[in-house]
Amino acid sequence: MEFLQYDFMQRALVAAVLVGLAAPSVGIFLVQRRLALMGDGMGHVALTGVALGLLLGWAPVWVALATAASGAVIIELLRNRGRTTSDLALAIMFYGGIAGGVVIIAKAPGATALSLNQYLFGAITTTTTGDLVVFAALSVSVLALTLGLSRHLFAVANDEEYARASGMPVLALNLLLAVLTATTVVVSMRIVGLLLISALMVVPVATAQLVAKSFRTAFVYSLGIGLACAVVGVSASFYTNTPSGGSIVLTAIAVFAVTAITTAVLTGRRATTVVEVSS
Amino acid sequence: MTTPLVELHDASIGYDDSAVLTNVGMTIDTGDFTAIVGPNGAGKSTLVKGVLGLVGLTAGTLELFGAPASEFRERWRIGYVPQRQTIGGPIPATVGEVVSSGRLPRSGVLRLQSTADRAAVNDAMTKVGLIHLAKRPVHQLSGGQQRRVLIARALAGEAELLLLDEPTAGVDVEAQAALVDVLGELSNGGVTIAVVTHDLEPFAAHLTRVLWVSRGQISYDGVPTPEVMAAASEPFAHHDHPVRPPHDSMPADLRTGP
Repeated sequence: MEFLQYDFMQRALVAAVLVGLAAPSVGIFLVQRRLALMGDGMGHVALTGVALGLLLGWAPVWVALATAASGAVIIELLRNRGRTTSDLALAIMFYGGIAGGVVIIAKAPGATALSLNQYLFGAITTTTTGDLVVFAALSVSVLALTLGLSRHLFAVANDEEYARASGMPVLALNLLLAVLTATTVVVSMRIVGLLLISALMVVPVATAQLVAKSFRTAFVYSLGIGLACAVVGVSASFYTNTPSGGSIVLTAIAVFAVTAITTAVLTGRRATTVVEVSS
Repeated sequence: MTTPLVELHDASIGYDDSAVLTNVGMTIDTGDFTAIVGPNGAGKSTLVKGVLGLVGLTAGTLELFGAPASEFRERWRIGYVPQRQTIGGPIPATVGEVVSSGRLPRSGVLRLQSTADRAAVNDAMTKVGLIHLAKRPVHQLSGGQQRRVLIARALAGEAELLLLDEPTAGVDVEAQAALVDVLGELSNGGVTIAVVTHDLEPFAAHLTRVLWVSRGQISYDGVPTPEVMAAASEPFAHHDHPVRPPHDSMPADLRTGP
């Protein structure tokens, strides 16, 4: 626990706990809606916000939040129109987001490639106490809304057509989820990075669905796995002197791989036993 | 005379500017057990989706429970059972979770689940004979059982009208019979039922009415006479022209279309 002597690591661990819980709480609904890459796209769009913040001298977190949330709303409205061109519009928006970020940051005073990397791949040492307060408020809001509205978000994610036919406020719930996704992306950018945050939304959920028997248990397992991977990843990054984002994501993928192999072996054994008993 | 649950007047239903059904009119009255039949692509599912608001009306009017559709807020009174081979996404959900989601439109967004809500969900699962499987992941059930889960979800909101899209498609004969028994019991219990189907035979004992959709029109609206049942048993896919039911043998007030 040597790393806890350092203030920046204490802040990093608190941020990891927040991100580890918030990311899968949003990701589980994205995965159920088969929109697993939505977080990835939001990360691209948020980069333009970060760059704008640096260019204008405003707090990058808030500008990124405004940009990503606006992008999320536009994407959801396009998706709601249900046209085939929506797919192309999304791709253009995502590529435009990252290209805009790269170009704008080149013009920002004092900004360097290092500034960009901090946001793309995470940089725990740059997380200030002020950042932490903002991240905590946003993460708690994300968790409160996803937990409080979990039954409604599940109903829409599980069968959107039915939810629409039965009069549920489908568009409002989808817009809310899109904005929560954007918020989680921005909260996570200092720890995991804009290019890797989607992994923390998706991989813990992918692991949980291997072992869960219900959506409720999948939700709980996802939060537990996300939290554990974020804390272990940040701790490992300190000892191995590696970027926190990559360490967290590799930890999550390792947990997924071990779980997938274990469940496959157990399922195989169970099937063999059934065949032996029946023969 | 009671108010029809559904009333379409001169309605055209379709996507964007392209109407699948044109100038159709029909009502669904309390207590009806209606089969909606017709060839592939005739517009049967579009008719149901038009009533549900999933596909827009490009002309005409729609009234639900006596109110214009745009002003009708109690949509849970119409239970929709979509045509699905599987339920949900990649994350497993239990029977109880899926059926509970059918209660939410009635209970609202800002209210916690009450005792009455839980009772309605349990009652819905009991009605379709799945209460003992409440904690089982839905994807582990057979096709017939999954259809019954969708019926229970529609019933959880205490729907008065059930609209089912091809509930027996892809289901084995035994499961089909169980499904039809459930619908028969619901009908006897006062639920109004309209079912899109390619096969009238399984529903024959319960049907009070047949709506025949062909080429974007309702070409027959009346009781299920032996002639209609016989015509419906012919394979639709092999007809270049819609099967012409025996209009002349029907009472004039039951005839619509040409």
